[in-house]
Amino acid sequence: MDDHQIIEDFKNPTTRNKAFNVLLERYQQRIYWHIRKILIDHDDTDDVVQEVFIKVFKNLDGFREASQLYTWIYRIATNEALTFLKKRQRKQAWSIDDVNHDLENKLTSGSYIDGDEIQVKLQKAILTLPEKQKLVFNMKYFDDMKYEEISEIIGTSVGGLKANYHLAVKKIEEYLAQD
Amino acid sequence: MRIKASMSDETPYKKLKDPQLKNNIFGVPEGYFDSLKEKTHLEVSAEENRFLKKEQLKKGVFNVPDGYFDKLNEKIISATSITKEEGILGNEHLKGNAFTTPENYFEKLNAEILSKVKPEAKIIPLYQTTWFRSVAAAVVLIMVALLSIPKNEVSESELLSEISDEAIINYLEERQAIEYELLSSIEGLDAILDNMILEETSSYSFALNENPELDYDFEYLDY
Repeated sequence: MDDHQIIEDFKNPTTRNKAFNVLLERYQQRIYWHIRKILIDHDDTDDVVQEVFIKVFKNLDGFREASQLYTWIYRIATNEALTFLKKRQRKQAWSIDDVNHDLENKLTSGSYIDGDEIQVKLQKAILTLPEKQKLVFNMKYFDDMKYEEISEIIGTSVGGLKANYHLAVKKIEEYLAQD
Repeated sequence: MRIKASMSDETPYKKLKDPQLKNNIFGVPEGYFDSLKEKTHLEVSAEENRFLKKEQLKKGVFNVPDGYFDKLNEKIISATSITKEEGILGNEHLKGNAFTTPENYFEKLNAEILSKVKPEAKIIPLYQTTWFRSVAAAVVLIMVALLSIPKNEVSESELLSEISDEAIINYLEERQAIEYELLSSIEGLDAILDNMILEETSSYSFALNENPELDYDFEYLDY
């Protein structure tokens, strides 16, 4: 079943549940890992990933297929994850540095983190990047996405994304070269 | 891994091969080595039967995780290759996932999401209903009509000219004091303001309802 078929079947009440099940099977893991790299913590990610798919369920009826289904879901996921961080920042009256510090703590002492030293160091390096560079780096480096797709998701020109990605790579290499 | 050729036979410093250079230029006090031998011999024999000789003590007290040395090589290679020409981009090890999930997490996740979406009927917000919009439009029209009726009464400045400056100042000061008192008496004002801000930041959900394809800007994506 391709994505178009999922959307069609979802609009029909008799096939709606089955279509949504297929959608979940297809995208839950990709979306989970995308959010996990932003939020680091498993429990936070669990909350947000559920929220994302509930939003997808509520809005898929009106989806006009101007973009691909999965870039649309990624877009919702990115927005929800960033909003989650912003809400926590406001609630705790944190600065952006506090947020990053909290994420770094979760990286070094949180549960369900299994990477070896160099992999964890890479994640720490990613945390030092500005928001957009972080997103582009994760999607390009780990998920092998095309710039055109990333552009649909975070709404920046392909040229801008390339510049952001190269900056990110440079900064991360500098970070990893430090002792 | 590349192995560098031994350089010992090809050293360019030929002068070092001069046998004279190997002569010892340092001396020791007379009979030093004889006394040293005696001294160390004594010490060794005294220690001979003591606990340091016990074999089990020679076993290290330190331990490493299982398979540590097998992974060590791989880790060093991957770490060093980062700083070389290819950088992080060609490093497959780094692309590995540093995160894990609880066991069977994804199997349970499906069920959890489905349980949350199924029983829910689609709720149409008040502001999206047709009757609400019609009433709102009518109210706006009436207000515009009322406001556009020209006033026949005396102008504001004319009215004010009849009141003394002192009275106006007193009135304004009093009003300010009341407002201040009112604000400071509200408990948890900060919390209320925080909530208002939070609600505003959640306005994306409204955008989602209005436009399912999310044609709105990301306000949080900054450089």
